Amino acid sequence: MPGELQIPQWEWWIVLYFFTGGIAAGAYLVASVIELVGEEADRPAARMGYYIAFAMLPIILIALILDLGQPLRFWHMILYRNTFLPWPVWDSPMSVGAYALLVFGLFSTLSFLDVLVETGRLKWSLPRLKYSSTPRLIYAMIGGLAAFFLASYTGVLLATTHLPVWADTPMLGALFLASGASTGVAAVILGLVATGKDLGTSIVKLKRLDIVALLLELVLLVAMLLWLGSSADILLTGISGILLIGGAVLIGLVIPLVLELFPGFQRFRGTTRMLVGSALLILLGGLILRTVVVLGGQGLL
Amino acid sequence: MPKGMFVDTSICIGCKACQVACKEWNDLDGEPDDFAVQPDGRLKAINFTGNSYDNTGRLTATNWRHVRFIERGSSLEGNMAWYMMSDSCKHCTHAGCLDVCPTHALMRTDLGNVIVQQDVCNGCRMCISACPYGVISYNKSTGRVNKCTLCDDRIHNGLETACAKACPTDSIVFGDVDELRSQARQRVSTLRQLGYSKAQIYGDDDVLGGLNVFYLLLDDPEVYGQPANPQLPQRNLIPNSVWSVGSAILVGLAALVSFRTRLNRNEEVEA
Ligand code: SF4
Ligand code: SF4
Repeated sequence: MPGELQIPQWEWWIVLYFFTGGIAAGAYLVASVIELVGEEADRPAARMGYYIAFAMLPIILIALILDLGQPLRFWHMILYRNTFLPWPVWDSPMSVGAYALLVFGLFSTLSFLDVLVETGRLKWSLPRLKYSSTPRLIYAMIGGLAAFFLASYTGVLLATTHLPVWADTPMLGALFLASGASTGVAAVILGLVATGKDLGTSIVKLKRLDIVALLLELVLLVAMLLWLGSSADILLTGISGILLIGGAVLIGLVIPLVLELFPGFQRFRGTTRMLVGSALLILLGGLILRTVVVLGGQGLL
Repeated sequence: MPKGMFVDTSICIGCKACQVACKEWNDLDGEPDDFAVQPDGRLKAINFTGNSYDNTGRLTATNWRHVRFIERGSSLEGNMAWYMMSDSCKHCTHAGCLDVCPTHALMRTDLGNVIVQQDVCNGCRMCISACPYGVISYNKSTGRVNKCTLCDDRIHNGLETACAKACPTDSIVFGDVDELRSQARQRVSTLRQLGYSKAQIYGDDDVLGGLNVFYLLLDDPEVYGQPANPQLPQRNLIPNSVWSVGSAILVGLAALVSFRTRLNRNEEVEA
């Protein structure tokens, strides 16, 4: 590390959290947009988004807790140990992020329960008696905003340091948001294919959204590397460089985009194999991106 | 009235009494990485830096003080000399570490020193790269972070810090920051008159609002491994947030356009 800076030694638990947090946020975003403006035919996609966001919560929680030097003190993030009262630190993305995660966890759980009631899997008399779609619109609004925050604050958190790769560009939060969206949508597509739902037009819309997210991610990544200039060397050389260019860019962005946009691949488009393949590549690329930024940024690769 | 220390590097002789006193008073272990256990059970020092007489190397969770040895000239030409600097936490007026700690484990006491409350810290490590000086260090064996406390227990009982007490040349002086600053200014002008043209104070109000532990250096801060213009970590919050919001708007619009019923119906007609 340059000068005398020390690194936080955030390793695989944090990579896992950034990855699954991005997926949860991206999946919830899709679901909430469908909830708010979409049509009935897209509801299976919305439900899948809610399922995926909810399924990520335990992984997120476990990764975040186990990364701490003192895991049993995880609640110190929310309540000040000496007063047992909440005490946010507005300059600290880690603090604000912890509260945002709480909100996101709450609302994605509510949305999940709502889906269970909607599909008749949960037969509690009270929610059924009073069942209406109004609460879920509220969940989608608040949860959707929290999801935007969740997808991007992890990048802002890394930037709130002095490590060159993290701190010398303003784009890390934006990049993570685009990556969260692309991986979240990919996860929803994968989930829909896996459960053998009649995909209808939803899949076309999901793919369209994914293409925009991937393009945005590619542009932001290139812009970030250019902005960093020589600070980017640590990301572009050695194992980091191979992973970033070969993995995050080629596998995760370029190949899925070419498959989707290049006329030569027209006839495969929409086949199950292609849908699954693309989604898996995008997810793998997202994981590699987080690995390179988190571990490579600390010089740990 | 903040308390602090004035470290006059021009009279430091590199004896490391301060380092020893710090370890003694604060009951700090030896560096685990610096020793190997020999077959007979005795410890053998193994981790010399190898390129400098500075064999401490850096601040760690159990080295809260580090006497830097900065080689000048060369032994081959017979003009070998050192700059010495007894380094530690600067107890910054604007302390990045304290600003980003989510648990409020890092706090400032009534005497202006910045401490880590060990019963509050949960080992999230957010503070580590937020310190522009690389002071805060993770302690794997306790799962928390450590750094110099400005001898919190001593100074709250009317004593000076252990390092200042031990320093045989009074290169480290403990006291009220205001008084120490005027003392330092006098010393700088004396040294300048003696021909040390680069003699300067590092840590006056221009650096992070003033360092409560500040230095008199004989050369530029970089020569001593100190950033000339340290920043606060939260300088990046606004620009990063603006970019994030821009990215969010694009993704949000794309999602709206993709799923909005009426727009799609139009397209289906076209297709
Ligand atoms: S020198 Fe570093 S650890 Fe010490 S108060 Fe300043 S920012 Fe915090
Ligand atoms: S490691 Fe401890 S002192 Fe540092 S930011 Fe986290 S809780 Fe605060």
